[in-house]
Amino acid sequence: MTVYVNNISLPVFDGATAIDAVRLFHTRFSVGVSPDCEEIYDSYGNKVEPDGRLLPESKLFIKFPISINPSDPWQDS
Amino acid sequence: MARFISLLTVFLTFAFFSSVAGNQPDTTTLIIVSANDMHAKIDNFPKLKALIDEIRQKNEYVLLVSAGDMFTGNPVVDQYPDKGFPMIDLMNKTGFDLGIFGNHEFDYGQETLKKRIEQAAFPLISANFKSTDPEGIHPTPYKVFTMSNGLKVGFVSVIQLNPAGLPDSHPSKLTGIEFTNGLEKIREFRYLRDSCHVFVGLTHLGFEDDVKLAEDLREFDLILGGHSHTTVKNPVEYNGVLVMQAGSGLKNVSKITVKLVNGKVVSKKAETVSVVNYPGQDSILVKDVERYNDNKELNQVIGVALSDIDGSDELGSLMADGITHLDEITVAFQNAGGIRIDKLAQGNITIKDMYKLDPFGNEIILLRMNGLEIKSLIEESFNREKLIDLQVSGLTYRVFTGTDGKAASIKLYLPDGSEADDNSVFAVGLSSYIVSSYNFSHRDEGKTLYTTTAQALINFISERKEIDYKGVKRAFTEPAR
Repeated sequence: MTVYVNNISLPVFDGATAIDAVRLFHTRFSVGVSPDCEEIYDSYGNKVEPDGRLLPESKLFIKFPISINPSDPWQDS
Repeated sequence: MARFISLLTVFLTFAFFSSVAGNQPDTTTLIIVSANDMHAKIDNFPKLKALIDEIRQKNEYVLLVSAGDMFTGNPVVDQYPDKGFPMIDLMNKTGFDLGIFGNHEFDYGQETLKKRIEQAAFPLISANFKSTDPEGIHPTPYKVFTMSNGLKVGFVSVIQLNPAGLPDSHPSKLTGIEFTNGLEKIREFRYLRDSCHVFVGLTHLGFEDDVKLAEDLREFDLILGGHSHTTVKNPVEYNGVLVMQAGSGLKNVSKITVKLVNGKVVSKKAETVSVVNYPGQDSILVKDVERYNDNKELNQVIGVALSDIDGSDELGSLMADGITHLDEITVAFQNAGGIRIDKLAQGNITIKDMYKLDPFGNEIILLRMNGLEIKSLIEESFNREKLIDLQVSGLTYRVFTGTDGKAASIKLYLPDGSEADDNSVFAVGLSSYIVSSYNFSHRDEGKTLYTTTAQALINFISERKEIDYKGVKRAFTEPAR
């Protein structure tokens, strides 16, 4: 399914939780800080626990300390 | 004449005050407290009981409800001989009035769930599922409470379904149950609005779907939800419907204060109240929780190690074998960072040992991967430290290193010793941590099997009874020629 972290679409496995999506985001963009320390929010400004289940099209927001490299280094197969 | 005037004055004064008293509005304050996604976390029940008792002392009309996922998340409850029993016991003692079905209510299996329903002193409702078996689970779709002053408070519930049309639980736990789309089904109950003073959606859909529900059905006064583990700090009404959720693990609850005048809702106020920081606690429940946490259940012996299981090769292979023990999986990997002890000593193996070995609660994700994709996973993991990271079950592999120490090529071998084809597709089991944290190629996005790696390992050892991993080694490295 597709979810969004900081408005960037990410394919995640069905049944993924918030921390799974945030880890994937960190992996993709090589953030370099531990994703497990992130505070995660939904599009309504509510805090989301890391083990909260995601629905298709769920939107999450995290603080992102560096600017995103517009060329995605991850080659999707 | 003077006597007549004074009598008339008395009469008129009495009539005036009687009419004023008769026109005074009937004001009622209703408090609803909702706990969602408690996930078997029992430690805060003494505080919750004290909090609820205080609210009940100060308010006449109080309802305590659960918005689903009472179970799964604490081995003290999940591994109790009668799974889930401690949770319902404590909920009964705390005085829950109502509960609903979340996706994790099915995790222990339907027979155990029926026992928990029987044990509960409160009803459990859901409108969008029922068993095809007459002896199965047939929840009532809604519950209307009539308070002592005649106030009617109605609750209707629906559970989330994933794209496969099932709740997020292992499909084997859901056989014989028919589910219908919750957001559509709940519309059939909007008529309850007319027979209730307060109408509540008590849902297990996730916050985003609760907002959609509010925007669709303004008949609700409020929606108290669960599933997404959202903590609402600044409550907001959507289409006039207040939507709340209180995180998870009984750290907080949602407290809703509804004021009614002459049976009409005139105000709604919601707040997230901390349970973990509540200063008081119920002394009887403190003793009950201590008794449950005494961990006799975790000391259950599930098998025997015939020799020490030592180091990442042996321990990691054991953990990977736990994953391939699932019917759906033929190949599995375990990362070194997920092996949290150095040795499992020869002798009895307990449930507690398994949670020391694997404490993270990562779920098993099934991905269909071909040989090339598996090699990309191994390459990514090896090149992190230029060391073997992933232990394996269902295959063996060899990494050939270049002069820089990184993986130059990889070969995979099937159990019969033959080399695996790059195009062969395997059902691969990985922890959710590996899938999210390792950068590797996989066309299949995968799906969770709703079983943790620790639980799979417990099941594997419980069935095998005796295990011996002396000298097991399945991952090799050598310089490329």
